[in-house]
Amino acid sequence: MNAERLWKGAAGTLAVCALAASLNTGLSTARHREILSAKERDLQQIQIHAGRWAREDALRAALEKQQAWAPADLGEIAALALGANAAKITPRAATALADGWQRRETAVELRDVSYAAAARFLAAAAESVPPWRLREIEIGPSAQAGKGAMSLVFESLEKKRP
Amino acid sequence: MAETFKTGYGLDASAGRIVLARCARRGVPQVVLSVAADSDEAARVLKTVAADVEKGVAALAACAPAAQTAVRRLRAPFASPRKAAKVWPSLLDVELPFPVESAACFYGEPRLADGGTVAIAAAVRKSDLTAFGEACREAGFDPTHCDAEALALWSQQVAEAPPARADLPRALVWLGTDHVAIVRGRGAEFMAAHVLRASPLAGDPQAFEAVWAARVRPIVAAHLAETGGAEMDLWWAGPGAEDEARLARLRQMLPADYALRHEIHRLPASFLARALARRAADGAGVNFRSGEEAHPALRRLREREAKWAYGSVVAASLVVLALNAGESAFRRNRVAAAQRELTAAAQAIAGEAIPRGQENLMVERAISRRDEETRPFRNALDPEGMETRLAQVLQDASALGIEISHLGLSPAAISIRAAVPNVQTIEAFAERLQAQDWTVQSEPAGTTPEGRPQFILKGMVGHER
Repeated sequence: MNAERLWKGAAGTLAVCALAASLNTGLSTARHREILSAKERDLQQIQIHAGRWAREDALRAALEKQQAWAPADLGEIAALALGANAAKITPRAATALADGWQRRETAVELRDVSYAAAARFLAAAAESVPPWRLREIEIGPSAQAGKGAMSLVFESLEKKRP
Repeated sequence: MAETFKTGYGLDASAGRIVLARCARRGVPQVVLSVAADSDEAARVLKTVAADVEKGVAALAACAPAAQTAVRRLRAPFASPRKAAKVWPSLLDVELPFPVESAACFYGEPRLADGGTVAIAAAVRKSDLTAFGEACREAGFDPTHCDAEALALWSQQVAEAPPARADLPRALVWLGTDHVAIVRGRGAEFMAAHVLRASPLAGDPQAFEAVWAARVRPIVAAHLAETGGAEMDLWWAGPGAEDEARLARLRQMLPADYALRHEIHRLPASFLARALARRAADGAGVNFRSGEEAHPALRRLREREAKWAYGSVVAASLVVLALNAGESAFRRNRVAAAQRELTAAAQAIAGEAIPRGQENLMVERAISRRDEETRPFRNALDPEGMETRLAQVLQDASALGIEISHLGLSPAAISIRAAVPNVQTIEAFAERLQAQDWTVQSEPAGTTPEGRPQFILKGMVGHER
C-alpha cells in the first residue's frame, strides 16, 4: 500500500510538473517569438550601417599606402599661387581622429587678393595629398572691385610617420 | 467486476458435487469438470485453477448462497442517473431485511424508464459473505469472484436463448440441489427473482411439491400482471431439470389457465457454472468480494495494474518533461544564436563590449562618434566642397551685378553684405541661393554713397555637409 501511495504520489507530482511545464512552454511561445523578432529587427537595423565608413576607410588606407602622412606646406602653395608673402599662415592645434590620424586646421589671411587668384590658390590646395580643403572663408571689403581681404580656414589630415 | 481475465472459471458446488466451467474472454463456456467434490480429479483440477488464479491469468467465480442474497429492482423518481446513484443505498435499505451498511452491495447500470431511473441491486450480508468464503476454502477452493446467482442465471438465459421479442415475458426455473430459483423478466430485461428454500432433489418430494404449488402460481400471476402479457416462456435448468419425468410432474402443477411454453436448456446441470465462467471472463458480472474482502490474488493483480498505470503516468510525464526541456533548450539556443549574431554586428560597428539589450543604443552612439571622427575624410573626398560653393556664390553675385562688401561662408552658414543695382536683384539672388540648398533671409541695409541699395543676407544650409 505504501509502495502504491509512493507511485501514486510520484505519478501525480510528475503529471502536475509535466502539465505545468507544458503550460509554461505553450504560454511562453508568443513571448519567445517576440524576443526573436525583436533581435532580428535590431540586427537588420544595425546591418543597415555595415560599410557606412567604407569610403573613408578606403581613403585612409590609400593615404597610408602612399605614405602621405602630412599635407603639403600651405605656405608654399600660397607662394606659388599668389606670390611671396601674400598669405599669412597660422597653423592651429590638431584634433585626434580615428587610427592615429589627426585633423589639422590652418588659418590663412590674404590681403587684397583677386577672386581669381584666390580660386587658383584654393584649387592648388585641394589638389595636394592629403588635400587642404576650405572650411570657412570671410571676405572683407576692398577698395578695388573683384578683390577682397580674405580670412580662410583650411582643413587637412595628418598622421605621425610610423 | 470491472476486470476482464484471459480465462474465467465458474464453479457450482452443491450436494457433494462440483461442476466447473471454463470460458475464454469473449468465448463460449465449456464444462471441464463435473465430479464428486472429494474426488482426486476435483482436487487436481482445482489446484491447477488456483495456480492460474495466483498468477493473475484466471478468475474463479462462485455464487453467493441464493437464500442469503437479495436482488431488487430499484426505481428513483428522477431521470438523472447521477442523482439516482446517490439514493440507491437508501432505497435498497428499505428493501433489505438487514441494514445496508452491514451488506456488500452491487448496483447495476442505471437506465431511464417512465421519467425515472431504474437499476438492479444485489446485496449479501458481509457476515454471510465471510462465512461463505470460509466454507469455500474448507471445500478446497477460494473464489476470486462471488456472483449473484439470480443475475448470473438471467444473463446466461439471455446469452443462450436470446428473446424473440423485446416485450415477451419470460422466466427461468433453476432446480438446484438445495433450492429452487425462479428468475423472471421481459425480453432481455431482468425484473425479479424468487428463491424457494426447498428442492425436488433433497428432502421430502411431497413437501417440495406443496411449496412449489403454493409459490409458483402467485409468481406467474404477478409476472403476467406486471408485464401485461397473457403468455410466457418458461425455461428450465439446473441438475433437477435433467429428469424429464420430474419436470413433467412440476409442469402439471402449474396453473392451467396460463399459456406457458416450456423449454429446457441444453446441459441444464452446468447452466449456472457456465454463467459464472462467462461473467468472470468478460467482467460482466457481480463480485461481492471487493475491498477488504477481495481475493489476495486479485488484490495483487490490482496493485500490479495500479503500479503499471502509475508507472505509465510517470513515464509519460517524464517524456513530456523531457520534450519541454528539449523545447526550452532549443529556444534558449535560438535566442543565444540570435544574440551572438546581434552582438557581433553591433561590435563590428561599435567596436567594444556591448551590454546585452543595448546594441542599438551603443551602435547609435558609435555612429555619432565615428561620423564625427571621419568627417575630415569625407570632406577630403567631397568632389565639390566649400570651394565650389564659394565659387557658385561669387559667380551668381557677379552675374547679377552684385558688389559684395562682406561675405562669410562656413559649412553651415552664409552671410553677405552687398550693394545691388536695384531691389529686385536681391530677390533674384536669394532665389539662386535657395536653389543651392541655402535657407536665406535678407533685409535692406540702406544705400551706398552712390545711391545703390544695400542689403544684408543671412542663410543656413538646408542639410549638413
